[in-house]
Amino acid sequence: MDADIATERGASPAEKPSTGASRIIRRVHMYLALFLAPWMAMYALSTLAMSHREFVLSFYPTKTPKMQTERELDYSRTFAAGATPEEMGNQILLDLSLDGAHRVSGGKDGKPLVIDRQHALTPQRITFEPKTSKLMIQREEFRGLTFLERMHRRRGYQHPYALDDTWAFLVDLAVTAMVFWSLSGVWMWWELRQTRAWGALCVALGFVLFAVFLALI
Amino acid sequence: MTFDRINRRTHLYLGLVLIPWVMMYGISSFIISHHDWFRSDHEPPWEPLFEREYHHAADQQADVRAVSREILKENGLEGAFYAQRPNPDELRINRNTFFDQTRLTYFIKEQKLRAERQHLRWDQVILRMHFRGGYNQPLFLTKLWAVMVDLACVGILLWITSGLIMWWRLARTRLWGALALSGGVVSFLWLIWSL
Repeated sequence: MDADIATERGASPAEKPSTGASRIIRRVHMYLALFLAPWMAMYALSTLAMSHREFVLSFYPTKTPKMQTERELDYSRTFAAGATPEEMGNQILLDLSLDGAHRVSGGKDGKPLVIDRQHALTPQRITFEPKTSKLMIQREEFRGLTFLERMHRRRGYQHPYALDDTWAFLVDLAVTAMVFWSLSGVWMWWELRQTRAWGALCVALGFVLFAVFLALI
Repeated sequence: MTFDRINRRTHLYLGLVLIPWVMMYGISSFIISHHDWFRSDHEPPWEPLFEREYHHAADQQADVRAVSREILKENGLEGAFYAQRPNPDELRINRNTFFDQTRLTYFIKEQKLRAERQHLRWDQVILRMHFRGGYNQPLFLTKLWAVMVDLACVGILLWITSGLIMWWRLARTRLWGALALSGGVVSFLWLIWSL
C-alpha cells in the first residue's frame, strides 16, 4: 500500500510497484485483511484476555457465568431400550427445535442426561430427568471473557452442520492468511528501497529474538 | 514526518519484527484445526535421565507449585513447569521447553527422585509455542515471551487500525475495500448470531 500512496502522489518510480504480480499481491493482502479484520480482532482480544485472565476475572463477581433457568417442561417421549445418550440428545434437541452443535453427557443407568448446546453468545444446557420425565432448559448469562474464549477455541469440521463448517472454513482462511500476510509483507517491504535498511533490522530483530526464545525457554 | 508516513511505517516495521510469531500462530492454528492429519499413534519415547536418593520437605499442606519450583531449582532445571500431587506420596513435575519436556517424579516416602526426558515432534514444538502465554511461569525470559505474545495481539489490532486508514487514503480501492470490509463484518456477525 505504501507504493500505491506514493504512486498516487507522484513519488519516484523506485516506490512504484513494478509488475502486475506485485499489484495483485498488494490487493489480495489488503482485501483479505479487510474481510478478515473481525476474526483477527477477535483472536487478538481473546488472546489478550486469556493471557490476563486473572485480571479480567477480577471485574466479575464469580469465576464462571451464572446459568439462568429459561423454562421447565414435561417431556413424555420414551426412548428405545438400546438408545444411546447421543441418540436421545439428538431427539430432544429436535423436539425442542434446538438442533445444532452440542455435547452430551450422562444419561446412563437412569441418570440425568445433560446436553450442552453450543451458542456463540449464550450457550444452553438442557437436562433431561428420566425418572420424572422433565426437561430443564438453562441459558448461560453473557460474559465477554467467556464469549471471546469460546470463539477463540471454536474450530474444526467435527459437527454435522453447515454453519459450523462455514465457521471452520473461515478460521482456516484466517490462519492461512496469517502466513500469506507475512510472506506478502516481506515482498512489499523489499519493493520499497528506502525502507530496506530499517526493515532488515526489524526482520533480524524478530528472528534473533524468536531464536533466543526457542533455544532458552 | 506526516501522520500517513508514521502510520505506514508502523504497519510495516511492526509486521517485520513480528513475522516469526504471526507465522507460528498461523501454522499452529492450522495444525489445531486439522489435528487428525497430524496426530501420531506413537508418542515420542521417554528417556531415563537419572534416579537417585533425594531429600526435600514436601508436607501434605505445602503449596505444590512452590515445592516443585524449589526442587527444579535444586536440580538446575528452573523454568516453565506444571506440577501435580496425584497422591500424598508422589509429586509429579513437568518442566517444559519448546523442544522437550522433562518429567520429574519425586517419591516422597522413599525419598527418591526420578527424571525422564521426552523430545517433541516438530508439530508438538509449534503447538507448545502456540499454547505458551501468560505471566504465571518463573524466569525473566518466559515473562518476556508473554510480553511478545501481548505485543503480537496489540500488533494485530494496530495493523487493523492502520490498515483501515491506509485503505481509506486510497480513493480507487474504496469501493472494493468497503465491499470486503462490510462482507467480513456482516459474515462475522451473522455467524456469531447463528452459531
